[in-house]
Order: sequence, then C-alpha cells, then structure tokens
Amino acid sequence: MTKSASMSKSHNRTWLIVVWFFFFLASGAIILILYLRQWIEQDNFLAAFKQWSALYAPYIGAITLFFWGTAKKEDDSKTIASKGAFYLALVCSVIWNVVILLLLAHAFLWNGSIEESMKNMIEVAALLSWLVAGSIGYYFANKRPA
Amino acid sequence: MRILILLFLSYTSLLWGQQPEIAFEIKPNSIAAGDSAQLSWQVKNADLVYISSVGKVSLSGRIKISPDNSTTYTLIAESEAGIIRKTVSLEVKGTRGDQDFPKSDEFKFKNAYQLSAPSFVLLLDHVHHLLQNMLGFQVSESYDRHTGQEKFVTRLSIKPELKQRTEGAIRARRIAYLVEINEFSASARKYPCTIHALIQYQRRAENRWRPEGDENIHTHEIKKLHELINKAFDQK
Repeated sequence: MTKSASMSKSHNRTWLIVVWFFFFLASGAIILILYLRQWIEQDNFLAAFKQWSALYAPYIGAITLFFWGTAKKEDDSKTIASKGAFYLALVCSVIWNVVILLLLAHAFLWNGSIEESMKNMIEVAALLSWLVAGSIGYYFANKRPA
Repeated sequence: MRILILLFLSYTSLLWGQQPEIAFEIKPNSIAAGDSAQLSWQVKNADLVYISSVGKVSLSGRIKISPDNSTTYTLIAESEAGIIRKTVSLEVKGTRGDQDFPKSDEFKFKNAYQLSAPSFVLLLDHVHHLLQNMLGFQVSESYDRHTGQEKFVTRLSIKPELKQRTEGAIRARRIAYLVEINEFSASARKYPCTIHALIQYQRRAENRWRPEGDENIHTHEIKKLHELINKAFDQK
C-alpha cells in the first residue's frame, strides 16, 4: 500500500471521529450551559447528562475502538475502506448528530423544555440507530486485499 | 337561677323565632359532562342567601348549572336567628378539563386575619366574587362541619406579574389561594380568616413546576389578597 493511500485512509477516519466528537461535545455543552444559566435544575441536569452519555456511548466507543484498533494494523495494509463507504458513514453520522443537536437546541433556542428534548432525542436516536450503526459498521468492516 | 331561666327563654325564642326554612333541590342529580342541571331554592325567614359556587342569590329562584366535575352545592341562609345550611350534590359522569385543585397540605405559607363584614353571607359573596370574577380563578368551595370553616380553593393560575423582568432563568410563576373563613368564632361581625398561598415556578428550559420556597413572595401575595378583600368591603 502506498503512503498517500494510507494517509488518505487515516485522514478519513480522523474526519469521522472529529465529526462525532464535535457533536458529542457541542450537545454536552448545551446541557452544561442550560444548567449554568439556571434554565434547568440539578435533577434535570443529571438526568439529561446521563441520557446524553448513554446516547453517544455506543457510537463514540465503537468509533474510538475502530480508530485506534485499525490504526495499529495500518502498516500491514490489511484493511482499506472504500471512498463510498466513508462518505456513507460520514453523511449518516452528520444527519444523526445534527438531528440530535437540533432536538437538544430546541430547549435552548426555541423556548422548549429539556424533558421534551430528551424524550424526542431518545425516540429519534432509536429510529435512526440502524442508519448510523449500519453505515459506520460497514465502513470499518469493509476490507479488501492489499 | 335567673340567669338559667333567661338563657332558656332566649334559646327557646330562637328556636320558635325566625329560623330560616329552606327548600333546596337539584334536578337531575346526575348528568353527563357537558350537560346541565337545574338548581332551585326557596327560603323563608332569611335576610340573605348564598349558594356555594354561585354567589349571593335572592330568596327564591332557579339557575342552570353545568360544572366540569361532581359538585356539592351548599345553600347558606342567614337571619338574625343564625345561619342554616342545606346541601345538594350533583354527580357528573365523565369529566371535562383539568381536575386538579391543590390539596390543603400543599399550601405551606399562610397568614391569619380578622375580617370585618356586615354579614357572613356578604363576606362569602365578596370572597367568591373577588377570586372568581376579579382575579379570574376557578374556585372550588366546601364546608368543613368540624371546624365550621368555609373553604375557597382556587386552581393554580399563571400570573405574569409574579415574574420579575430581571429573572431570565424563570419562564413563569403560578399561584393558587386557599381562603378559610370561620363562622363559629364570629363575634361582632368579625370573622377569623386564614389566607394560604401556593406559588410554583417553572424554569426557562423545563416543563416541571416546582414549589417556590421564598416566603416573602408568598407573604406579599397573601397580603395583597387580604387588602383586596378589605378594599371590596370599603367600596361597598
């Protein structure tokens, strides 16, 4: 495998992990700001924090695992993901994360409530889980011979 | 001995004197939610007549009512001989709207007063009119036989004036009142009264209503209601 192909593959994975961590931290920041501005009280803050953590944990955990796990194997060129699989994973990740962020931002920007936002986030996350889990799984599991 | 004879005579004169006579009925006594029933009454030997949840009424009459939930109506007839009550109940099958009035134990802050009024019925009518018509609350009235208290409980209602402009983190506050007026201890047209207030607040990004812990806000609102009751009497 050439050096440029390896760098491109690493670059793609970095993009994916950056997207996930950006939205993960952005939604966490919204919950924290709501609490610090006293728009929600401690019980709701802790409940929202737990939900936020539970919502992102499977994806962030899996992506991080794939990222570090495959990075070690990169030199032996066993796994190379196709461009199509990467874009599919990226687009699905962005859709999932934007929807979740908008639902959370509803409590912050459009006079909504954290209880409603959390309820909708759980529902929507469950509905879209097959999309994002499938595309990410396909991207990282996509192998072709060196 | 003379005192006992005098007491006996005054007691019997009260009994044989101008005790109000009440005929009070409701037809039908069971309706479906949204339907109406008719209250009718005829009272003799009384100066003033009051029906709970209706207000001060003439000595005889009829009125159509359509409550949201099952309600007990109490007719109070007042004369020089005293006060007499009669109650009728209306069962409402199926219910409309929000059922919940705050329970007595939810009210944590109260103040006691002595209210001056020309009569018990006029006082009840003032409080009923003030809470329901002037302040716009939905009111539930009941009578406690054991304590002799007439109780007015209001539903929680959002009042924009309870939220200060500087309170950016608060979306709204709402308030309910419980007014207890004691008839038994009445002397010289002064009626012991306790006004309770329950204030709740809602944070800007929450649905939940939480009890307001600030005693000053409660005390301020209780005093305001007391002043309004007194003011209404002054005007009349």
